[in-house]
Amino acid sequence: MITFAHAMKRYGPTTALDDLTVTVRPGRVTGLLGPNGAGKSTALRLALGLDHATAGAVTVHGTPYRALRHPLRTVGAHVDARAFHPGRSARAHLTALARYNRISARRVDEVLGLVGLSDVAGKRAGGFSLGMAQRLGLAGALLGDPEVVLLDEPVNGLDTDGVLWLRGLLRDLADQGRTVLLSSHLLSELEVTADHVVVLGRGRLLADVPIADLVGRDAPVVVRTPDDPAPLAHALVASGHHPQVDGHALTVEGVDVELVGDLAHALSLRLHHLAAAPVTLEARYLDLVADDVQYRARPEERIA
Amino acid sequence: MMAAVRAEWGRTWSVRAPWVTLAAVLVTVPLVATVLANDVVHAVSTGELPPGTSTAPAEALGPAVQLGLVVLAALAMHPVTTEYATGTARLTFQAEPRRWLVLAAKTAVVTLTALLAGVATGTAATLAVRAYLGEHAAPAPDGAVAEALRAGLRTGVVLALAAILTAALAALVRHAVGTLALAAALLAGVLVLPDPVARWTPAGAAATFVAGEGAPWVLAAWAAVGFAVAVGVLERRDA
Repeated sequence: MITFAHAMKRYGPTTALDDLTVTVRPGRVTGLLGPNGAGKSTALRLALGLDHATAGAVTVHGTPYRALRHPLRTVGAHVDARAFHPGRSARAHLTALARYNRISARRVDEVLGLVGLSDVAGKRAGGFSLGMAQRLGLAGALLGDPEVVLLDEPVNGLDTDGVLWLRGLLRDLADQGRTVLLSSHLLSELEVTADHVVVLGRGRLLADVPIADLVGRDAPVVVRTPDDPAPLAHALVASGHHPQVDGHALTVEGVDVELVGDLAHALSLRLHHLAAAPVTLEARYLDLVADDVQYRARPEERIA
Repeated sequence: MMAAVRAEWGRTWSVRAPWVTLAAVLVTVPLVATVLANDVVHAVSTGELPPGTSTAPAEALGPAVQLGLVVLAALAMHPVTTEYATGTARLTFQAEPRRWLVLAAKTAVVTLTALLAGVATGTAATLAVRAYLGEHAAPAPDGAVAEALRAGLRTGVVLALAAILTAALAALVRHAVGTLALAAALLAGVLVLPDPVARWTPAGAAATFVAGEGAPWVLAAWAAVGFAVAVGVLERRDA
């Protein structure tokens, strides 16, 4: 469990994280979402004790990271894609980290096998592809068999097999009751990987909800017809809905596909398309971020 | 502490640069000292110096060690600056959030290396210089080997203290080029200052001690203060 309690971080005049209070719970995969500069990386750096909070606190199982003994055994993190010396072998890279936390050499070989790098364990890591580099970073995160796993953009550069493997791994970790937090700008990826999302915008918490609440709710029905959609629009308005007509296309929220189809049939409209358009996480997320921008813009308008 | 030193020892020697710089230190000091001895022999042969000239090997060792210190700085800074260059520093601080311990472990590795390299290279250089000077070498009252070992020990102490100071500078500056420039200035460059000032600098203090005078307190103070400041900054700074 990771707890942010009124966490605030300023870098000079910039507020990177603004009074963030959120708890990342065990037993599920939590996605950390937000545009560039939203404070995702700052949040992870505070959680890992790398940067000091200007105010507030971040704790892991109730303990500040920097008070943990052998922290890799509690928290495994992968935040920088190529954070290794290009001239050092993958095994030597992990061995140094393992020794700091009194983790056995056997475990180093075990995680190298787990991420599929056994064959290149002795090779200089500088020759690794981005996907292999990601796997090495993941190996580092898994080194201490940690209760809490933090990953920043872990699917970047992974091939399809790698992505599927990672999804399965994260699912297993969460099912074992561990806390899994991953940031990603690939919304579609979070949609299939995460159970829960924490959305940040300009350093503030915008949402902390199950992913199901963000996706698939109020899917609008989209109709395309070669005929004039006006009669259908009138019929929908008459039954209390608010359709939007755009040329030969009509979109309406809060109705069943069946109802729209029956109405069209009754009006003898030919339909070339009739479907509930799933609301993507992306669309929801853009709504959230747009709201935030508007919220931020208001005080300046008042001054003007 | 032992876990940290073990981690840093293995990590330091698992890349090439420290081996290359170590070899450079081991070669530089005897080579430069011998070249300087050759200058004396040559000057005598051309009549620039009187035929009865008698030079103590320490006089050739001094400038050789000074140059060796600059090469050593490249070795001593490497475990720190390479972590910042590659972004590994954050990983290390994740594994060991007590940053003073990380710097202490890195410093221990380069200090031990510098001590051993200094003893070896100072002893070898002194023996080589005495052999090269031949009849122009000042007499060694308690024998050439004892003289060489004494010079080696002094060289080792100077290199070890310089390694501590350089590792601290590296933690403060973080960039390799900046660290090396600063270390070169402090460990050699400031010798151009007038003597009353220079003797309080790391370079001046090193020169005095290698020449066989007194105790290395001034250089030790630089190393200690440098390390303390570096730890203070490291703990407070965002990684």
